[in-house]
Amino acid sequence: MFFTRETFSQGPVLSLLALILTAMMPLAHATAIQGTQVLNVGPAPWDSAQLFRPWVIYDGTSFTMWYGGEDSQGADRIGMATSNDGISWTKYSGKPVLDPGTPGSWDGDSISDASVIKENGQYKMWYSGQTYGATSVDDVFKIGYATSPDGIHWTRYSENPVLTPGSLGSWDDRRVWRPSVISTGSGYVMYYRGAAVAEGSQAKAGVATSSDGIHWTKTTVLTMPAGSSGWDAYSRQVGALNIGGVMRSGNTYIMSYSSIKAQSSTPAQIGVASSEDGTNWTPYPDNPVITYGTSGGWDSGPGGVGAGNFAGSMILAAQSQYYVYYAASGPTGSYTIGVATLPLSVYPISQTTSTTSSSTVSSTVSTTSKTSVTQQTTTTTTPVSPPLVLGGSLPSLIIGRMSQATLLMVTLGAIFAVTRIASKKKLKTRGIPGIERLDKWIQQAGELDRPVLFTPGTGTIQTPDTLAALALLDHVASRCAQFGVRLIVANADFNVHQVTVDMVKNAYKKAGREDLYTEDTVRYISVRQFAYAAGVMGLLRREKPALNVFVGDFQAEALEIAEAGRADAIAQFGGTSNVDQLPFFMATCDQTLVGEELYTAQGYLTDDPQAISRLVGPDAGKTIAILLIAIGAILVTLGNHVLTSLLRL
Amino acid sequence: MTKAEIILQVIIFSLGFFYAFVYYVRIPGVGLQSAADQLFTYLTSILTAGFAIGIINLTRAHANNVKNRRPIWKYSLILLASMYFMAVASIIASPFSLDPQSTVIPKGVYAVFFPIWQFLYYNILVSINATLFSLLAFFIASAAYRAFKARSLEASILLAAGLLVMIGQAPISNLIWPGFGAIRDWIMAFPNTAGQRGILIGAALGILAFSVRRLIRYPWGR
Amino acid sequence: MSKTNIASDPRLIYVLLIFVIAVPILTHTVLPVPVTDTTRAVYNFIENLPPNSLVVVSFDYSTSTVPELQPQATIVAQHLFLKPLKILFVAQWTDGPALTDAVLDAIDKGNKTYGTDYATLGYIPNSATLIGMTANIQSFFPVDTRGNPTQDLPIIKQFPATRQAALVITFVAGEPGLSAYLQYWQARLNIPVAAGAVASLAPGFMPFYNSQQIVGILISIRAAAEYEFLEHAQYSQVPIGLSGATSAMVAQSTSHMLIIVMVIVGNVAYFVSRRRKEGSK
Repeated sequence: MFFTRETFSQGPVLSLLALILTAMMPLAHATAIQGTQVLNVGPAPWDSAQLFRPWVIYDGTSFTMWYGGEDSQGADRIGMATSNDGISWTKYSGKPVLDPGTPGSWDGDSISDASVIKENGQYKMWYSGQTYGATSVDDVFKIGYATSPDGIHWTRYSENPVLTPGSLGSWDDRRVWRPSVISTGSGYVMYYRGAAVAEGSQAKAGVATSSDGIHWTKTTVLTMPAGSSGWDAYSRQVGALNIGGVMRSGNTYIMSYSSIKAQSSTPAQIGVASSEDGTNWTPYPDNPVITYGTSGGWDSGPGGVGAGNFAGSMILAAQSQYYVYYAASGPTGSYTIGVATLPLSVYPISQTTSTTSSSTVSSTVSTTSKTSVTQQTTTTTTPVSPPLVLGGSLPSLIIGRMSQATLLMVTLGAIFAVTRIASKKKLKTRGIPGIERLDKWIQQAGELDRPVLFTPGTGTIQTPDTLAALALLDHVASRCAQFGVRLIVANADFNVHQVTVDMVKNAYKKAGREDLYTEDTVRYISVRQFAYAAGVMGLLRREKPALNVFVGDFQAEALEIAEAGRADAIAQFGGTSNVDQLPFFMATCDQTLVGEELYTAQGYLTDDPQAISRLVGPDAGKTIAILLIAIGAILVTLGNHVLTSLLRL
Repeated sequence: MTKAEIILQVIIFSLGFFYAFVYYVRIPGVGLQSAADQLFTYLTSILTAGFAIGIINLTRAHANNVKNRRPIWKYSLILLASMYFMAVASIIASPFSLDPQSTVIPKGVYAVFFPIWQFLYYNILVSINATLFSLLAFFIASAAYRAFKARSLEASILLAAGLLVMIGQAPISNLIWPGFGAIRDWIMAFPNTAGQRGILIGAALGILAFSVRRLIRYPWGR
Repeated sequence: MSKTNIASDPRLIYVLLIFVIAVPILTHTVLPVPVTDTTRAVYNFIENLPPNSLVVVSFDYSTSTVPELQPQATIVAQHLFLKPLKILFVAQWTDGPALTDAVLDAIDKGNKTYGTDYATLGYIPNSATLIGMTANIQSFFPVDTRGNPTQDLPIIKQFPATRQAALVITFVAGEPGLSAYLQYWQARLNIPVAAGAVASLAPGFMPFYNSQQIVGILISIRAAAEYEFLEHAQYSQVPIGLSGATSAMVAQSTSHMLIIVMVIVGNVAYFVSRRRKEGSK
């Protein structure tokens, strides 16, 4: 067979290839773009700590932005800034344009999240008002409405708030906030964020409609549409759609939203999606569109872009391109506002009703929206379809693990198929010389009348390395029984100890040498790492074994055991798959089982073709791995991320 | 296979398969993950019970040493004495105490035991553990001296890489030439990581085949 | 070179090593240590925490790694106590609570009082507790390590759940450790995580730092020395020898140099003896 240990470990071509590939890694680059900062905190105190939730409108000649600013006490207010080109901005006069309401009122503690529409010469704003609770967990948010002739001086609606949390038990019964309102010509649609009191519940995106902007009817909860890559897998999985802003372009709705990949994930990124009806969305196939920075810049903080407590993004089309304004976390933890421009040539989000190439999963209707009955009415002007849920009520593979499952099946299949084929042939292994020497060493120990020491390391019974070590112990114990050699087993884990006691007794019984087994054969030393090391070192010094076999899961104590054995010139046989300890093993043992050799050692111990064929199986898996790595590295270097996206599915 | 083995085989296979299944498949409405977590809690409980057996084992083994006056019986005696004393002292008077507010144990007893416990813990246990760990420094030195001989081309490359990384690691190297740190970072980040990953992939595949075989055939032997 | 074959008698190496390590530590020599980005990130993050934030400090190491991590824990704890922060001490390893007490004894706590400004909660036995405390500390830690009911502690009344934490910093030598906090605190609740790690684990944590899942890493005792310098520069009342790390730095440099010199000398001897053998053929 081509794949023997020698060819793999010494093939100079392979090493050269590996070296080239690793050196090329820094050349790979991402396709998502980064934006530039346009607005920074301060200098006025009211917005000196954080900036968030930019909302920009373009009236044909100039841009106006309303944004949230937070001071060092944590109170939020809404401010304004203007620009001619959307890139360089001037803040309005160092003061906010909207302050929190009277203390004790629904928006008396903090206000934020302005969403502004200019209609008929008048500015209309929807914003979140916050009332502090006993702890931040108890804070309540509601949505209010205000108007202004100039965008600077605002008059609150007399009967604010206009949108409140739902009744107890509904999906948004704790807070509603971050409105994004668009005008549909015949009314308004608001996309807002809602959260429930229920412990650990995830905030979701909801929709409400209104004819006058004041009286709202909640309609549905949005769920995540299907996408092609895994950058927003977490949002899809938990239904947490973090909408930034929504705009209309002709008959198409376009939104920006942010997401993270998985629960333990990278910082948030921003993508865009489009829709024909405002409820069923199709993500842009090459999402994410905007990503965070990495080298200490304004957007290189841990929160990423567009998401989190302070964030928000919004998208608008102006001067033949798309502008996406968003808040990003910086390296010191504060959020500032920036913009990324998406040229229409690269981001041709269509203005007609053509669909994009990724398909939407249409499945059974599922009522995931937990809006209570009183809020679900039919007095809406825009038709609302039931939300789509990926997978619906059918069992489905977990996103983010689908390709892993496929790869697993393929690899297992390959391994066992190759094993089967190999077992039919009479294979001879060019084995690991040490394994053959193992039996000879044991025999020599018998002749010298010195014992053999075996220790399976500090792993628990669940660790694979320990199980492999026990498999080897079986062999060593039977050989010791056969040659009448005294065996000493030293254990660090009490459960492993129980297992080894049984195992050694059985091995001795099978060899018919039960008389050899004494109380001292298998010893439990200590579960503490260095007490165990001291114990084994002591055993090596006192008992002076002819052979020291230490295979299994080892941490730092490996070197101590190995050096102690070496000092007395004992033959040493080691093995582990812990890459941190392998160098120590290699430097001190006469023979080392490296990584997978520990698991396939069984094959080398016998001449049984079955066992030998098991050695060959994992080679099939290795071939698959090498092919994937090589192809993937080449593709990524050329800028193509198909393979990486596929593997992240 | 005997009946007992068959039953065990079925249990082992279904539990193992269930765990893998839960990792990959989601069934809405069925709390698979929490069932798996619950199973894991049972496993942890069973394993932890082994701790008591371990203590019994130790006690028996060393008590036998003392009884039969084996050559190391004095050390066995010290081991038993210190083990039980520390256990009692920790329960009575330590940050691990079961009764820190002295509701049951009189304050006087606490006041006597606590300084003793403190002395034994910080001055003996911590010191001994740290010392044994620090022995590694000496062992690494002698191992390095032995291993880093330029016997062949590969050994020479190993030697060069090892020296460069060691130099880059020592803070004083920065005063000699700042480039050492960059070289060290590159070696650690690229060739080292690549090699480690290769071994990891191989080991993972070995574990995969090994574990699946264990799930399928219970009588683990040849 | 000397004919006493060093390879078969390592005791000479050991003696030299003892000398080279002991002298700098006993003479308290100090070496300026360049501050790495990973350490500075942690320092700046703590420095910029808003007043009255909650910081959770987790002791996830045992007595054997005390020389490597205790200096870090000491100097970071001192920094936390200098700022107007509220601190909760927990541990995922069983040795943690005792080591916490040791650190608290070593630092100057200023005018902070136990119960109001800081508290030691104790050992976290499993991930269920780790997850649960983000919602409700009191039900998972009914009493603290000193036996006080947690519901009576002012700090717990102010922060009944750790989800409000502004930072969790874990001093970690293995598992359980950083991954638990990343998985259950950072990913679900966006609580920033910082790590102080032993040298063998630090390379494995770099990917998390590069992707900004953790705000910074303190790598081994060297980071303690760097942190000490940073802290002393800003708060001059903190003495340079507080954590003992800076003189250890010199010892580390000298011992590294000794090993390098020995390896070179050994190779030279090896080549010379090989040439002699070939010459005598």
